[in-house]
Amino acid sequence: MEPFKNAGDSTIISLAVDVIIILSILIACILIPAEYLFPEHRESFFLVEIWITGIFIVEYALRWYSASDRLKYPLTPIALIDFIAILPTFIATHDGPFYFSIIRSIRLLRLMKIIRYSFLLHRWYSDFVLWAITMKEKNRANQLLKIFFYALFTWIIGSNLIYITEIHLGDSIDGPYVNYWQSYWNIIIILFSGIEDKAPMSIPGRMEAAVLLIAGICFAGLLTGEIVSILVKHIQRSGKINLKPPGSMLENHIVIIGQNKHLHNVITQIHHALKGSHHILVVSRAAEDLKAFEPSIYKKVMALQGDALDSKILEAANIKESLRVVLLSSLFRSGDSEQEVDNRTLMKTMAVLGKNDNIPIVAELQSEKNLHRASTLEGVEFVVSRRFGERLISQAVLNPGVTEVYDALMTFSENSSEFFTVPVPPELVGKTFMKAQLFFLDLDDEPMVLVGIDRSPPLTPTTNFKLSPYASESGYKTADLILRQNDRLIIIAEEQPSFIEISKTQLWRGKIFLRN
Amino acid sequence: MECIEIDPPLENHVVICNCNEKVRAIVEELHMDVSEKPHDIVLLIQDKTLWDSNPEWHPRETDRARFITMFGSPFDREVLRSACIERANSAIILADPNHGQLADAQSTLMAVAIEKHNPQVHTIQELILTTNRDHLKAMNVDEVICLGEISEKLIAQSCISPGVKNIFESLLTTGRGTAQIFLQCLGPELNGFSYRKIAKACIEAKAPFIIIGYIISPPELFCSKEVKNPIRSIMMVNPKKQSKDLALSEFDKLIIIGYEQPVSLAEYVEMSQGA
Repeated sequence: MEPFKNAGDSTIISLAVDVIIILSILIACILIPAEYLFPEHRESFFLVEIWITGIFIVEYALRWYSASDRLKYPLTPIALIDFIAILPTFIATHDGPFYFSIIRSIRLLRLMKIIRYSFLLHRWYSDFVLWAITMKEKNRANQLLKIFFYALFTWIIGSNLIYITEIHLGDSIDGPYVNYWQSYWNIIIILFSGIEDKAPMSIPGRMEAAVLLIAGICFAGLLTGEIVSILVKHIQRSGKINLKPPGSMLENHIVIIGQNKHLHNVITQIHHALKGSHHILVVSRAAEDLKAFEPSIYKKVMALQGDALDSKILEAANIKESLRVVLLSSLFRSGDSEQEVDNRTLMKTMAVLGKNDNIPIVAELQSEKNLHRASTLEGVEFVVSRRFGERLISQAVLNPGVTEVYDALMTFSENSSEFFTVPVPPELVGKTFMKAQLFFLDLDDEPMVLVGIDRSPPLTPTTNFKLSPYASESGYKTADLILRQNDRLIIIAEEQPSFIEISKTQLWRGKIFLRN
Repeated sequence: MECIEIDPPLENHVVICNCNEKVRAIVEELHMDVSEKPHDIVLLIQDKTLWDSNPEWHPRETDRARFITMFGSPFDREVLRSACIERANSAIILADPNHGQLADAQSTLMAVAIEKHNPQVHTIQELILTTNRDHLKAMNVDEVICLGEISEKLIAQSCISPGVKNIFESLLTTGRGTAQIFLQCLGPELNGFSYRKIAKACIEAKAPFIIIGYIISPPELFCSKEVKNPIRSIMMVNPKKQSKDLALSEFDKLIIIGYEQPVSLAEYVEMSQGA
């Protein structure tokens, strides 16, 4: 009964149900003034009212049935709003329909039902605004609009000018421009077809018409040129990542700064991990040339042209409202050493931190030597791929075949399982790690394997953890195996477990990554 | 040229073909192996000048295992023979820095040459370009490791779940006191047991490892030292409801996280049943 989330398990049926409920709420509210304005249709409106109330009742019953705590559910604020939405129809039916203005006003409270879907409406609205701005930019709507306004201006001024000229200087009283509205029609023909079939009678009028004829040819030229330019731009940009339109603002997005040969696969992995629920913005000097390899993956990917060291570019990327920042090592320029490449990445990292020091940042470094120095930047995760590659090669020698297990754990794909750290469920606090393992083993609807305990400080996650803590090598004593309230559990799962309490506000605003 | 004569003779060793900046870390990581006797390593160097001009690539010496450098082309059968490839456990083919981004072709040819020489050796190839991975499937290379791919996946993992990189880092370290992933054969004693049953028994017996999944494979591919390519079958990490109760065969393997490879899983099942 959760609203559609535009990701994962949210199906088209879920979306359809949400749309039906939202439409029902809106129709129910429209009925209130309609009954007042069209009293003769009251009976029909009442039938519609009954149908809508029926939908609300079914929705209410299903929500109550699927609630985790059925006893408390009717007293929750959202359930009370749902109940208030049903109540007025019953009162109206009982006391004779439509006579009490008070009932009418209570029915307006149905609008509150829309709160449940406010996040959905917010996201639709944001997506729509972004789409509209992108389309406007893509199709050079500003230029077309300018041409349209110039034409409109010329039309109005031209029509008035010729009309006044003909009235005052024209010899004939039945000329084509002595009728005010007729002159508008005649001028539009001159402007857009270039045919001067209705000639003004006066010489000044004819001169004005000649100017308008030339203006008409200019407009036709401009319009044709603009359309050609749009088509050429479309052809040039086909297969490339959409450029972020100036003025548009992304929210709760992921920013990738820099580009190298890993860019496509990083985008693909993030897309699979989040099932395309968040926008990805690539900031690069070569943004205009970035290719969109798979349209389905690049649907929500945008590129921003510019250097991330430029403060204005970071502002345009809206780092403050983004959820994650990924910094890729810049492509090696001729003669650049690993150190120089890393220096650029580190400088960009500091620039991002300057804009938002609360955001999780991942930065790719080339040299392991820089890891130690870079560790002074708290809250930033640095990845040196070589380090992992070397270790994986060693693992392949020692445990043949194990690289595919690592590959499976590292790869985001349909139904793949990954590592998560989660808080200890309240019922497991004070229990042994073994009890927790058995608890998770029996969770069949939501499969997950408990593999370790994380006792790191909150600001530096996964820096003090033990995997397989029963082994003597873990260094844990028996007392350490009792789960504490502040512990976090390391699990392998497909998704964040449902027992984790997630703030609805954060979920609604897209602040939490969920695959389902 | 025959196998290099040293005492004790090379056996079950690792042959590394080509040298690059990864040699040092790989050799030191393998010598850090917690097992009683780490692998001896033979490094086959094609470009002596390159090796000599990069002393930072040279691994630190250890008395736990031998590190032998030999000069010559791994394409030369005699050179391979002198590296005792017939008795080697594994061969690592590193990307030759002299070939830059196009090193994959040479590396793959080298892997094929080694496979022809000794089909039993476990070949591990370093790949430069991810796009070439598909082409290697027909080449009979046992394991292919692409650094770029790892980088991409780790960046995405860190982006979605901050801190998770540290778990992988810990798992990939071979030193004492860090957990690793192992593949463990079920063996005839556990034939017919399900993942759920074995996992439950091991948990109740407080086993020093955690079972996270299993690999089902036809008998001819598994649990035999003579047979290569151990994973060409179905892998289940974090099995779902039905998969948890599937009866496994003695040829299947369990994926476990532990500090060392357990000698046998059956003892934990017996221990749990006895209790």
